Amino acid sequence: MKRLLTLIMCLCCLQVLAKDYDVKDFGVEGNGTTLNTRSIQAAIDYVSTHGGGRLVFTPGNYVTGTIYMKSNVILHLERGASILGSLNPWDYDKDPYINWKSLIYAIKQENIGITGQGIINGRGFDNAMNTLNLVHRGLIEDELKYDRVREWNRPENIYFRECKNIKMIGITLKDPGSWNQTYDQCQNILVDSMTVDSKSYWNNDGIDIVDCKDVVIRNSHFDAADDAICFKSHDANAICENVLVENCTARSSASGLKFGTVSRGGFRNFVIRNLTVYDTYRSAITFAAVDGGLVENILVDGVRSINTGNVIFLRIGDRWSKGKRPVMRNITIKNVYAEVPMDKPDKGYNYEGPIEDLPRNISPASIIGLPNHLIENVTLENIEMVYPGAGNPYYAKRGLTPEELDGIPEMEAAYPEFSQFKELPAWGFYIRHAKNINFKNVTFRAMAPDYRPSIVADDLQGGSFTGMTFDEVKAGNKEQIFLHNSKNVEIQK
Amino acid sequence: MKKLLYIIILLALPFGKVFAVDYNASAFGCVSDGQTNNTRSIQAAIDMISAKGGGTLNFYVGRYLTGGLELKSNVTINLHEGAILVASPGFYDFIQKAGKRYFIYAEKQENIKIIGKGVILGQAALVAPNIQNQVNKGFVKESVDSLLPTLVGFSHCQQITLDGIMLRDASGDVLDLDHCSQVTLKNQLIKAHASPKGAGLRLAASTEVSLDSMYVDVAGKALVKDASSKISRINKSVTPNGKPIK
Repeated sequence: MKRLLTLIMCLCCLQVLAKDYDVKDFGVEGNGTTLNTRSIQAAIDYVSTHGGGRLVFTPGNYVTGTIYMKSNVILHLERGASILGSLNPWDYDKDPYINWKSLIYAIKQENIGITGQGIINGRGFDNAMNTLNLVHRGLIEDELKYDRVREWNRPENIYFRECKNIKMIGITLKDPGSWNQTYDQCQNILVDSMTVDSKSYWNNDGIDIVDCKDVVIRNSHFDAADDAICFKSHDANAICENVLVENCTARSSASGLKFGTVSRGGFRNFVIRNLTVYDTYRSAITFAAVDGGLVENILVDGVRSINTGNVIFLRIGDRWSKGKRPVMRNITIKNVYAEVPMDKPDKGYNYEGPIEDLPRNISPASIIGLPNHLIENVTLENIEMVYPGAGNPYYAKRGLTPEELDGIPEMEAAYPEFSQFKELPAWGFYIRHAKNINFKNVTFRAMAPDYRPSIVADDLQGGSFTGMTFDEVKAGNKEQIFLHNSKNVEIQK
Repeated sequence: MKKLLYIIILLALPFGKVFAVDYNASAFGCVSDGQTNNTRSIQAAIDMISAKGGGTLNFYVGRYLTGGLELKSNVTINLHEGAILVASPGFYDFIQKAGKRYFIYAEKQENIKIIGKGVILGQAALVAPNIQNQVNKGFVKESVDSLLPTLVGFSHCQQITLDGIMLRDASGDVLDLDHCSQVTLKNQLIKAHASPKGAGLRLAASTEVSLDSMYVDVAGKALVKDASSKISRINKSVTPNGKPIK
């Protein structure tokens, strides 16, 4: 009897947790014009203080300014329901704790989420333009770096900070004014079956995971003007760790999957499986430790990189480290097929990546540390990279003499990009300041003759190249691996 | 004597100031998304800056789609690294002068500069079908070849400097100079393969033209000039096979 009572009580609790509320019952209008900020907030507060549940948005267009998620509330957007960001910049908060504008915040909340087949559309382009106009009229202060409003003065769609148990399932996130969705120092995040269409304005990332633990991102599609799937570490005493990314596709006018740029604490224990990156301007995969951070224990297994400007860029720099030692080690990247185009890969998308760092011929994939901070223990296995070749020394030249190789600048304080060194001396892969780098069964193809060898390693302290295939048009017996200042490197054809 | 000097300096000061004025493209409503057509905004900016005595119009990183533009005296266009003037490919979007068509054009102006690491992009692959379309429909009678717009053209201008900017993807000729003098071209990458006869630089009755550190990669000739044109200096300027431009 007691047991039955307990069971019934449990069931009741479950029912309470799962209770649905129609947002329209709180006076919210889905007519595309009414500004619903206060009524939606009232609804969220009510549901949170009454045991939690789902706040359901039936089909309609719900305009709102900044709202705050509260514990135990799920926003459920039915198919045909859109939350539209207000076009008035004053309708957005710049939360003093976050110091960055957002449409939807959650700060120190638990058991929250946004689910359903609906859309959140920040209408970021119009928001950015309206904000810019207010800056030109002197009503909002902004330095207008690069002639645009700084990213923290434009609203993101979502900013969650120090939250636990987050579920983001099924929804579409569109057109933010800045980054799209940031999860900062959160724990236990599930992103599943999400669609991101994020190319309405500058800095439109796909997703930003900052110093979070226990994260799963799966079955999702990210199309972004800036980095598509991006992990950051803002806090030197925090770290991104225990992360699974699987079955995702990414398109970007920057990088497909990226660690950094801000990388103070670091990134540890990642599994990235079955990732497709296409029409992407910069690198399919970028791991940057440029602010004193750690990158450790990373497995990347299964990548298709099609029509993407660069395949792999691993970089240690020394930008904002403040004496902290950057570390990058124990990385395995395997089962990769990549095609690098001659043309601009993101041609025709909104906010294409900038043409910069010219003149340079097609840039190689690269692993580039610093003289005192080597990148260690990297395995590259079962990989095929197809390049256009056609490097022309009269256009840009970096030869193989010691002077030319040593003349490549270290650029430790520069913003890390695969193109930052301008012309590099290899067409396939360039390695510098690294230790124990092992290539197994790796194929490089060049569709036209290139004046450079396929691989150049400079200051490589131990490593191996086994099962290598080089297939460069009209290359003859050209030596495709060139070592400089390197030792204990084994080459087996 | 000293007094006179002071007076001269005082008189000169406001002019000096006027020439140093910087304008940002965004203040004129220019949008860098590659989709918004900015023609009227940019032209208004150029006209206003010139009318006020000159200055610099700054474009920062981004793609500024625009139809044909006319440059004016004492205006400097600074295309900072990553900034691109992208030609709107519509048939009627180009400047038309004396039977020729241009993307960027200036006539009877002086002291014009286009500087920076940015790009002027012709979008030849999108322009050609629109020309063919209008010819096919019979709205224009000329041959397709004669309708291919030149990327940048100056006519009867003096004191022109193009420093650093890349000229890419021209439909016809890349840079035309007609009756111009005191022209400085330096540190430029020119790439255009769309038109088999498209010249890199085409000079007619132009003098005191100098070339320094130019890389010219075009389908036609790198440099075409008539007998009355004079190049005062060529330094470190090559084609893709490494041959010096002559």
